[in-house]
Amino acid sequence: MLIEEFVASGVARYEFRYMPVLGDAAVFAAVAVSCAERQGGFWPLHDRFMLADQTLFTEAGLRRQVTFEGLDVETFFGCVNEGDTLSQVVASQEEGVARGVQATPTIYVNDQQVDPTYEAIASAIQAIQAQAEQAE
Amino acid sequence: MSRVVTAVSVLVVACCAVLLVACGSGADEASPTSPTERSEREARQQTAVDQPSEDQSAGEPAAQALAASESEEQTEASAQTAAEAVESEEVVDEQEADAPLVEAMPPPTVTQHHGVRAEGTVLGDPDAAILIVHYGDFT
Repeated sequence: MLIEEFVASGVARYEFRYMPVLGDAAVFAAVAVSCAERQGGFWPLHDRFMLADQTLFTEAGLRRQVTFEGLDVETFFGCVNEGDTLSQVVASQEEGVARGVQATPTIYVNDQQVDPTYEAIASAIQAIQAQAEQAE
Repeated sequence: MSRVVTAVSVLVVACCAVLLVACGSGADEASPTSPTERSEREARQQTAVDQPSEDQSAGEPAAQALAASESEEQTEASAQTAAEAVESEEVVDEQEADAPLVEAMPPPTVTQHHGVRAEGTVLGDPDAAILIVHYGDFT
C-alpha cells in the first residue's frame, strides 16, 4: 500500500539498506540478497525473505528460488560462498550504526526517523508535501 | 838427421797432447753439467715452472673477482628483479584493494518490480523529492 500510494506515483522513492542485526543467519541472508542484487534480482529475493520463507536458509531452497527468478545459479552461489558482497553488507550496516540505527526495521523519511508503520510514514510524507506547498 | 826427426816427432806429439788437453778443457767449460750452471738452470726452470703457476694464481683472483663481480651483478639483478616484483605486487595489491570495491558495487541493473522502477535496492523515481530509507534484517 505504501509503495503503491507514494512510490509508484512518483512522490517518493524507497531504498532498502542492509542491516543484519540478528546474527549469522541475518548476515547470510543479506549476502545472499546482495548477490542476487548483482544480477538485478534484489527485489524478488528480498520479498521472499520478508515473507519469512525458512527454506531460503537451505541450499536446496535457495537454489530453487534463484532458479525460479532466472538468476545464474552458479554465479550466485559462487558469490554467496565466497562472501563477495560481505563488504557491501558491512558497509551498509556501519552506515546505519553511525546514523543511530539500533534495531530493525528502522525507517527514515528524508532524514527524519519515523515509526515503522504505514500511518507514521504516510504522515511524515504528507507533512513534507505540505511544507513544500507552503514554500511554493 | 834421425835425431831431428825424432825431436820433431816428439814435439808434434807434445803439441797434439797439449791440443787434446786444451780441447777437452774447452768441452768441459761448455758442458752444462757444471754444478753452478746446473743450479742456475734449475733455478731458472723452477722460475719458469713457477711462472705459469704465478700467472695462474694471479689469474685466480681475477677469475674470482670476475665471478664475484658477476655474482654482485646477479645479486643486483636479483635485487632489482625482487624490487620490481615487489613493486608489481604492490601495484597488484593496490589493484586488488580497489577491485573488491568495484566488484562490491557494480552498476545497478534497472528492472521493474510490481510495475515500479527498480534500480539495485531502490524502488521508484530517482528524482523523487522524498526518500524513504528502510534499514532491514531478513530474519
